[in-house]
Amino acid sequence: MELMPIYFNAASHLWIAYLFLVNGMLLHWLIRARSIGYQDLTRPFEAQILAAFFLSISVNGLILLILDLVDLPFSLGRAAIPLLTLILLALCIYTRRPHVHNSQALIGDISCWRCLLYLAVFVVLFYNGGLIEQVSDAWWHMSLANKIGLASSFTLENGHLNGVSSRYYPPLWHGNLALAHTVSDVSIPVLWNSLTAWAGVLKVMAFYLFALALGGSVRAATISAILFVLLPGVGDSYLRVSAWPSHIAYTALFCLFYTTFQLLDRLGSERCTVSLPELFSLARVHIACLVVLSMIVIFSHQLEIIWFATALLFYYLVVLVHNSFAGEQDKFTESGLWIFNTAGASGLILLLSFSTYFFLTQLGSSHSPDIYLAIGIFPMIGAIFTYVWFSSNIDSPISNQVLSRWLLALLAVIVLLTVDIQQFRSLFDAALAHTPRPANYAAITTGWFGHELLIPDWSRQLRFGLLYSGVVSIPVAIALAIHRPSRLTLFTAATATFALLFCLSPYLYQGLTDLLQYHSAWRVSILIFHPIIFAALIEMFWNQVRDAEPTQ
Amino acid sequence: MSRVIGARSMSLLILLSVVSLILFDARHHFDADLVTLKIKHQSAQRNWNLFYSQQQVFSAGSFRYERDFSEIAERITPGTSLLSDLATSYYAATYLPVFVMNIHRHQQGMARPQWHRLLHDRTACYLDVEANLWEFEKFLKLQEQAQAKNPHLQLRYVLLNKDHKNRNLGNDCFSLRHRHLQAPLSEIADLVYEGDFMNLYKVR
Repeated sequence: MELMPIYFNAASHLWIAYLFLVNGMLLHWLIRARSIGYQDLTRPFEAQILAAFFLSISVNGLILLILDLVDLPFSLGRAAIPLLTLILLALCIYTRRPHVHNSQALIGDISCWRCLLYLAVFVVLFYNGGLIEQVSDAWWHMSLANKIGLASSFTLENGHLNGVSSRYYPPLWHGNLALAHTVSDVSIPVLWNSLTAWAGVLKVMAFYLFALALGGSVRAATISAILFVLLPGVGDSYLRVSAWPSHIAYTALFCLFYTTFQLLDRLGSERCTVSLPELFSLARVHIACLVVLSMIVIFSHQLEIIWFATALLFYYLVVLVHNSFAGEQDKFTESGLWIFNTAGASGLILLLSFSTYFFLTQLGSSHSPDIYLAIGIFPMIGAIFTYVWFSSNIDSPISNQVLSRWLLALLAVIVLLTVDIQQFRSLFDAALAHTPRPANYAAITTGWFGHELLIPDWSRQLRFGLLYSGVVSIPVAIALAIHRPSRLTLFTAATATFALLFCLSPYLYQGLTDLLQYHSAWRVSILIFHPIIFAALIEMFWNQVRDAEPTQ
Repeated sequence: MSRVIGARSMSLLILLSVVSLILFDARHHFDADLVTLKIKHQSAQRNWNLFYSQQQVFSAGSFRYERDFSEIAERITPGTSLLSDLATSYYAATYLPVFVMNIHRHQQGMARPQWHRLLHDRTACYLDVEANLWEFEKFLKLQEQAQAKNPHLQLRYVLLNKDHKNRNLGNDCFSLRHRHLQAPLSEIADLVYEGDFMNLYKVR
């Protein structure tokens, strides 16, 4: 075997550190020096590193966009990036504040354990390399980055691979790769291979922040991050593919969750109801970060913005269910209740109106009764939950809590009846699996009326990701949510349960596929956050073991 | 007292069960045999593995061809089309300013170029058979007329990858038969670059 030269990709690591962190970090320090809210939001070390990364790729993307618009070559980035570094450095020196001298303020909150974890992930990925040695879709992405760099444009008239214009693909991450290649002269495959180590660590850091914002416990969040590295899942543990645009978007997705829960916490410490100007004044930093992160997701992979909204909607629905059945004393109240309720109700109305509109537009088509049932189930879910919300929040003659409970029970029965038992059994026994249909990226099952319906093909990374910790985590999450309702338990139970139901019920899956017009709706299963569920369980039982003292 | 011990034992038991489940699921990352098995079955190694080495990426990837690609980049006309085996086509699309047609079906979009058929039925792999070479030549002339409005879709170059260590080339007849293709190719194309791993031919 021909030996790889030692340090053959060392230069690429230095370029990555510079191009994807330095300018962002300088910008981050400038913002920190001016905003208390931003200081609070980026207190953890991980938040600082991730802010530097996302600011860097956003600024790089803006530079490329300007060059593209004024029809200048991307090679001007060779001058623009160092010039920007000098300007930002000068501004940092000019505007330095006393607290910047404080190393704690500079580095943020970090523990030795987490440092060791990130170092271990980096070393393993550095050693593993990130270029999947097969002819995978990674080459499609790298080819796109190459052609963006060569054309100095995000718009490629003749496509990038076979000379035929192809569908639009969000270009932010590919543009950054093209810029890195143009500025450094390091080849795109070498950059991709090296980037994996950095992007893998960033993804673990983002997951830590997400778990921290959910549970508020540094210890549980640290365990979550460790389990994220260890436990296979649909998005978890796949660290060798961290340089793919979808995984950059996953990192941003975890940061979106972190920022959202930080925003709710910030509002939670204020009065229950705030006006819009007050809300903006209280949370402008969080709102700005949410906008920037959403833009990064939309311009790097798009889909994760749907999962973000879906996860929050699932959470809101489960809180509604919990509060409908709980006594007055046991009702769960999320921080920033006013904005949580408003956003949740808006999501619910959007679900109801969009799914109804979609159903009505399909009425004239020659769909089978099973397909009509699949796309009709969503307006029904929307209508029932809207009534539950109405009964819980608005005092009127038609509000009826008892009727709400009955409707929820009826909905649960209907959804459970749509579950395909063979699909569930085939998760454990591949021989029972439904016939795969690769053209649809799914398998085929038969509905109640004897017509074809799509159902996820477990072999597409799902079986490996769910067995066994993924699937075990779901009853655990439900039990934790019932036993100890909290943001963490209700959120993880909501996302995990709904995600699994979409993979088990052909009606829900077909409906979701049609509603999103997306062939791989099975990716909803990335919302099964089993590392966080097990971390919460471990912390809970560890505390019980430690605190149990003999009574007199 | 016994109730406390019972509760503590139960908590410990649950903790041990969870840790066992985690260790069971995490075993894939520490399984040296899995690396060999995946290589043998040509299954992508997407999860990290303590025993996986970047050496695998180095020998079954494009890194060793970088010198050849930088030489070829200076000799090739940007925006033209190139024929090669599947893996080398993807490498070429990433390193060079060219278009490639030999790609996975799901990435072809609406494009169904006729010369893809020449690869599919293996005509292009057996150019040492006279009838195939004749068909190939005929095709080149036809496509020149058919694609007059899309010059970037006309086949201009043929790239032969001579490497025998890259596993991705092992299933591809165009690469496996590179020795047999050199002579017939020289009848219809000029050898414009001969490197350690790559030969570039420009169609006359």
